[in-house]
Amino acid sequence: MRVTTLLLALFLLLPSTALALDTFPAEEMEPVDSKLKVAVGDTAPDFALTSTEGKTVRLSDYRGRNVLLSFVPASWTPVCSDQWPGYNIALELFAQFDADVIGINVDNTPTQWAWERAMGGLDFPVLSDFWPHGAVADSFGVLRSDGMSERALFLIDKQGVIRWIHVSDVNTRPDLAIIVKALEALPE
Amino acid sequence: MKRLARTTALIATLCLLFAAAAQASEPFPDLNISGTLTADDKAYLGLAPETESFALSDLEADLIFVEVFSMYCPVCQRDVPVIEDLYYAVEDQGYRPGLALLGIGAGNSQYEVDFYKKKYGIRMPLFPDADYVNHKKVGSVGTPFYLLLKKEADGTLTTLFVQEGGVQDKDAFIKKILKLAATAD
Repeated sequence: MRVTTLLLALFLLLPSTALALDTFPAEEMEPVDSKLKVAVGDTAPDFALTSTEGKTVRLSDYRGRNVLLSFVPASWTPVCSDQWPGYNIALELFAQFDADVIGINVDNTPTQWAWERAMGGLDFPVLSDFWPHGAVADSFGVLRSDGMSERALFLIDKQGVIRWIHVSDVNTRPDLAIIVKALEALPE
Repeated sequence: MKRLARTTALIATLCLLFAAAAQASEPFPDLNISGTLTADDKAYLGLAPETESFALSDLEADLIFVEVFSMYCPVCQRDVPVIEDLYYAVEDQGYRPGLALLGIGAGNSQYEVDFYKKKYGIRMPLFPDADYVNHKKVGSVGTPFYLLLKKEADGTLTTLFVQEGGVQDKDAFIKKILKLAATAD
């Protein structure tokens, strides 16, 4: 039964670009399964994580730039595979607000590397929060009880202060329009 | 061993379920489409100036090429030049106004569709399907999903061509669509 369940899950989690856009059944995943540990106005917790390019990326390296920090639950899942490629073509739009994108999930770097290649490459850093498992997600309060992260967005300003937080239903991709609205609301 | 057999049967059943999307030479459900309709879109689709939403069967064209896409889908992004070339081939080779192209953004809002259209300078009309309503009618297909539809005399729609997934050979794809359009009764 366990094998059947695993294979069923794998089938449902195939990237939507190859098959259907169905997401993991909502009844199997609580829309939100964590409690935020940060709030708008807080200084974002700094981190140092490894990118798929093998570089160490620190949030504090981005002081002087706005940052859209995007947590997604898992590689190779339909909604996640459809989220970051969209951000990739919107990088110029975000740049109009002096904003860079950083993507994080809790998978290890080899998994992320293969996934990124399958998506055709991404022009923003994809960081692994694999070990200590989910520590960065946990520091923001978006680590789910199953070890995945929420589908969460944090907009961090040039001084490192959190200006907007959006924790989506994990089964749903947030509309690009709400991100742009948050960017427009950033202080000059 | 029994477990493996059960698992294989389950996967096969799921595959069949997902394969229940539109097939060529089959009736196709009429789709109701809404979203921002520019004057250019209305002129291209042969819709009255006061039109706010429409069904595929309302279009002036008897042949309709539909792309189910998503701005988030990297294969759709990669295929944009193919569909643009098809758009211009249809224009240049005398297939208008009998053949119209349009796109439906599965799970995409109006903002996302507008962004995608502007980002790539896409000419064919694109419409949102934020709640996946039309996507479900088509069969919850993967994106991109390409269709060539024929409007019959009674207004019903028949599929002449169906493809799920990206275009591998641009010239062959365009040639096939145009040949089907040219030979449709």
